[in-house]
Amino acid sequence: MDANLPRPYQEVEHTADVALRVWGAAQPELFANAALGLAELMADEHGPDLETWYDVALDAPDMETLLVDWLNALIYLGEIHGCILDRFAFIALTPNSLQARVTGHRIRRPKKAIKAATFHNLEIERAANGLSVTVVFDV
Amino acid sequence: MVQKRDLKRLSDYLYEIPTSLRSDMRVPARIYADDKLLEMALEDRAVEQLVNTTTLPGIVRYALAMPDIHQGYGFSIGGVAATKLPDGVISPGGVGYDINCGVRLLASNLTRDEVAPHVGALMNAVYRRVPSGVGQGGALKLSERDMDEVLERGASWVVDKLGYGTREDLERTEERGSMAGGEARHVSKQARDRARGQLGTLGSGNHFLEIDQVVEIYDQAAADAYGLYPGRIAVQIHSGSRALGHQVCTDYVRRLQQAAAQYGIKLPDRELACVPFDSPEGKAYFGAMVCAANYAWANRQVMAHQVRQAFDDVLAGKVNRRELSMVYDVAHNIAKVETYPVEGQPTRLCVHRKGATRSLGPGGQGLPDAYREIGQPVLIPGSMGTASYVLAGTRKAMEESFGSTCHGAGRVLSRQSAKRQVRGDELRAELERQGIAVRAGSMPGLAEEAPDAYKDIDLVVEVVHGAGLSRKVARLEPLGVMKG
Repeated sequence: MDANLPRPYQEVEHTADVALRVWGAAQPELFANAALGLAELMADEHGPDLETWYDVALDAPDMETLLVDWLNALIYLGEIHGCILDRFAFIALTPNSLQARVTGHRIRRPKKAIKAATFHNLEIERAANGLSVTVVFDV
Repeated sequence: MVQKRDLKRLSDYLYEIPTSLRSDMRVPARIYADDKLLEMALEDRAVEQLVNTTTLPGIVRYALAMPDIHQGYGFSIGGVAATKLPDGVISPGGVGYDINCGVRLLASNLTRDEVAPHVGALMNAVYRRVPSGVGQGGALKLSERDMDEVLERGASWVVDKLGYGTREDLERTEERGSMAGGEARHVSKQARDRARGQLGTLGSGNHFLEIDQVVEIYDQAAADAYGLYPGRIAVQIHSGSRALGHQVCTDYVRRLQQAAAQYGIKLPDRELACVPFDSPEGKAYFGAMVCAANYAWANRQVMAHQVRQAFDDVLAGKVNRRELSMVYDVAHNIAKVETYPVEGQPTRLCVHRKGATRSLGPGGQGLPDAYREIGQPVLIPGSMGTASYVLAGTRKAMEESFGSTCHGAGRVLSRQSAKRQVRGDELRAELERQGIAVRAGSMPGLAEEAPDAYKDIDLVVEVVHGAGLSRKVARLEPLGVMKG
């Protein structure tokens, strides 16, 4: 990662919900960092590693929608399988589509129930040293 | 940001933002507040969000904010927006993610003196019987067929199929706990998967279950009708549709953004995604939203049964007359088709209430016989450890606010700020010092819901009482609190 970039993600203030500011040198880093930030919001302690990988395939009209769909797919898979997903292999990633394999670990101590990633004021900003976005999560 | 100078004071508790503020406003915005609550409302983006809702196609009269308004996503929380049918819009953002988050109140003849020695044991029994907190599932695992039944029949399925509760419980639930128009086929597989094991669970966040005592009566006739007497014990359950509602909202905010463009609708915020109510997409969202609302009523029905069982577990052989009877159950995140006056004519509207409670006055359609003369019980939970109120609906609300009033205290501090200012274990100790038994799965979660993170419920209730949107009936104070 570019040493000039700020830290990959940071929780920011939002009156009723939880928001993450996320940075990435390019789309793969932005999507991975957003997912890592989400994982950190959800669990304090890691349990045993999963032995399974899950497939995620998404299409969206723009990169913002794809990011929300990606995070919501991780929330859904994590919830129904009782795990936190924080390791990803992007097989294909464009502004309009994503194919990935994801895995992670069981939850030992859940921290917060994140119910959904929202479109609230969502805009991926492009600067010389990469991309940034603020994602508000419904809790 | 909207400034105080942009608002015109219409009366002691009502302010208006005229359409001259922004060229895209179709109607004015109105805020019910006193000076202090108005200043709080102006501190974040809540009022700007309120103004955004005035741009919705088909919106009538005005977009409304209740005194507990605070920033949400898309719509502010504590807002009401009504659109004219058939072509006015419906918006998932106007309902929120926790569809039919709401409150149920049970009353009893138990006195504080009878219950006080057993409060700790009662809270333990409730904590065992009602799963709460992050990731906690329930004992019920619904088959696909049962899920369809819950989605379309709500609390009546719980009473008929599981034998949990009575017909009176259903009579005293908004929409009788089984809202018409639910179409399970419009609820996604993801939503069903997430909710399959969650029926009868409290959840986390601001949801709670409380044992309260009635401490003050303001309206004797209404309190008598509702079965509330000073010094008697009551139980409040504040919860919603769990992951099912969140997934329905996620699915349809996404889907309706694309559909909105087909109908030529420009959105000032993506979370305001909307389509005409009578469009195929609008009908699909309404059918799915009703299912989520029914799931929430079923959820609170199961929890009420478990609380009654818990009271039996602890009090059998010790205290007689321990029945918990239903006062009422209200939704405060929902869209409903209701009729209210527009330009003097009764008009069918889609009324979005996001952080707002229906407030039907005497004669309101759908009220049970016992409340027809008095008006609907309106349940306003305070923040954790503080008072809650029972109000009664009014005719003025039906004329002025699309039959709506406030829903609670409303946040003022972010969750991060609350955690910086308050430690969960210290808060718990403080509440215990006040004689309130606390059961909580997470100390940081407890800190996020600290009373200081919320507006003063007394101020909020004074505004809606003073404005005539609902009238004070009784005040409750907690003896025991369970948080997810």
